[in-house]
Amino acid sequence: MALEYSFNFDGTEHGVSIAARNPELKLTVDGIAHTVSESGALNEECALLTVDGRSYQVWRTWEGNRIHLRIGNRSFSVGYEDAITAAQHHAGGDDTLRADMPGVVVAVNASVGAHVTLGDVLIVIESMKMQINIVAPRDGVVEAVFVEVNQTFDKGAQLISLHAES
Amino acid sequence: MPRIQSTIQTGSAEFRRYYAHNRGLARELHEKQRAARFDRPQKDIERLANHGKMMPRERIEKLLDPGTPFLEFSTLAANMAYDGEAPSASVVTGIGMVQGREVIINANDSSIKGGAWYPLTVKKIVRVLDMAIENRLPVIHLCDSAGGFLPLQSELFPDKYMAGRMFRNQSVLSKMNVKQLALVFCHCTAGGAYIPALSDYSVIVRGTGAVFLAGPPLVKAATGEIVTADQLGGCDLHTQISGTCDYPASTEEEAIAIGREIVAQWEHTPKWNLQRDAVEPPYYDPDELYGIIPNDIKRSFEMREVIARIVDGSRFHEYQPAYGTTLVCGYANIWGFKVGILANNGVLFNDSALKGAHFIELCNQNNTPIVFLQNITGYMVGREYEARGISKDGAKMIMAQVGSHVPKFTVMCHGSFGAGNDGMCGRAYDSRMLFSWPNHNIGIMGGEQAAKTLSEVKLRQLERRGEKVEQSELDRVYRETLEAYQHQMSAYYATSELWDDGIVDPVDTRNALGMSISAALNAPLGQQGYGIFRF
Repeated sequence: MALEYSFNFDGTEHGVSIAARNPELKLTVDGIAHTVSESGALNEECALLTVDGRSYQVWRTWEGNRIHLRIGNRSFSVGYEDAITAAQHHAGGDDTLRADMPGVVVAVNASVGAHVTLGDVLIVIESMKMQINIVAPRDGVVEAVFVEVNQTFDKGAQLISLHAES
Repeated sequence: MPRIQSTIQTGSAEFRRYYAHNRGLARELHEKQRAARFDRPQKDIERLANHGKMMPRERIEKLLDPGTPFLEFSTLAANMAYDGEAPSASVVTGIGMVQGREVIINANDSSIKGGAWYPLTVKKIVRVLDMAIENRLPVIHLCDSAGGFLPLQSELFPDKYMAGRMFRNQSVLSKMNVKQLALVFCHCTAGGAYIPALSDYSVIVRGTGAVFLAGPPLVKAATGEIVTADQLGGCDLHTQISGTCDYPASTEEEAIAIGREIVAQWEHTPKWNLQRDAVEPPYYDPDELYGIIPNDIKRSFEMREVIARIVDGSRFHEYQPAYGTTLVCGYANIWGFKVGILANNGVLFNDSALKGAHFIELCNQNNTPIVFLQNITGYMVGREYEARGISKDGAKMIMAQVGSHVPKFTVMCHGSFGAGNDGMCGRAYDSRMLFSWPNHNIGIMGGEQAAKTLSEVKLRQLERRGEKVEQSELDRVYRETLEAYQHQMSAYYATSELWDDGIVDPVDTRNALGMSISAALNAPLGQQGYGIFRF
């Protein structure tokens, strides 16, 4: 059984499948197979990797889903995308923001065509005496605004949508 | 597991405003805690030093394994009672490590009225012994108490959950084979005498330590016998003649050293084997919680942003992400421990309540502990929702979480109002530990709603009696209700009354939960099964 992963290697996506072949790993990167083994970590940051028979000393440090590597005089940055996030990216996702609760619109801060940034407060609603910010889930451009100030709406109503990511 | 994608803008005006507000609350919390721990009248500090006695926190520090954390409970208990005369309710309780074992500490503070038990002292000790029972944690009692505070005896002695409950709990612990050690530093008077007597092991300090049902003044009054405390119930009497205490010690330091060696003899009982993955700190800085929590109880906030700053790697597997969206449910890890999380993202509807009940059942079947993050105004009201059965759906949530055989933990993150408190595992529902944030508010309904309801009731009362309705009278009812509510809804009032196990600084939530989960694993899983769900 080989596991399929998606890595972002210095800005470019690469499909990688990994199969365990004790004591080594069989890596297929963009269709080309390699044999990789780690001959013991020297410490947490430094390991000796053997790739297709050649050995490299690799320095590494983690930053969330990203690993920074130094091999010889070159450094690399490799990002790992978990399977769900990767699949969602490829599908584009639903970009319409809906109301979790019935309520009334207090403020509309964005108009059609506006460029918005992750976290921008697009709409403020009030529901059950609570004020709730509707924020941009990502950077993008507003496609449609479905409500106006003082308008009441039901649970699940569309509030605002962003253009699908290209 | 995918990482939560934060949408917080740390540069925004709102973030900065909230941040300044909540940092202020955290500073106030730390100052109140410091004062409760260390501010004592100079004469009391000197009195203890003259008798060769340490302050309770010095004793605890010497008793615990060096460099290990101490999870202290209810530091601000009684902060709004007895005119502030009993900081921490005159007792220090918590979970610490002794000889590599997690133990409960119950330490009297004799720098306050000789360590006398106020009603809230008793409540705090009973609570921590309940915790020992629920989590099967050994207890070390650091005894130094004058006994019950006589002027308030009716509020601490006679009822089911009052003083007798401490000794009842000690006996229950013993029957469960949960070990107890008493270190007698000073007097154990009256009921207090039962604490060492009901412990498996006890050490008593010569000269200052004494155990007796009645102290010298009461003995003189009763029989005319004139004796000193040491003659009456001192170290040599109890370790050489009566056998009430086991080990004599010349100093407090020696008593602590003997105590540590006793604990080292205790068997290591295995914890239950909860799934534990590699620990990863949160990707998003917990410090940002200050900028997320609103400065107004009526403003909502995204609970996923809170989860992202508590759980390992900010990773969260969300269950039913598109259904019942006002309740966020999912799996995550805290300190590597697998947990299920239920967090409020708005009022509870029928679908969110059903989702919650279902997810609680999933966690139970999967043997996964549950963490409730409360910010709840209640369940949706109105005829439409009653017709859809909002009451019976809320009841399902309660039935599911009360029937849980996995440990539950609750954090009061903001509001906790009305029936939402019940469904989300409030104090009555046996959370193994329940912590609050300093911004937390709690009540049967919000202050304004309560004030409106009561002035409405008053109006109808007056109308029924045919009396003239004065607007000023209604305004007075409204104002007084609101003021009383605001006072009693605050986190400080709640913790004063021991409605929680302490207020935590939001940035410490992850560690408080991590230690709590680890401690909870000492008890085996409970009995599986539920009551009847009304469909």
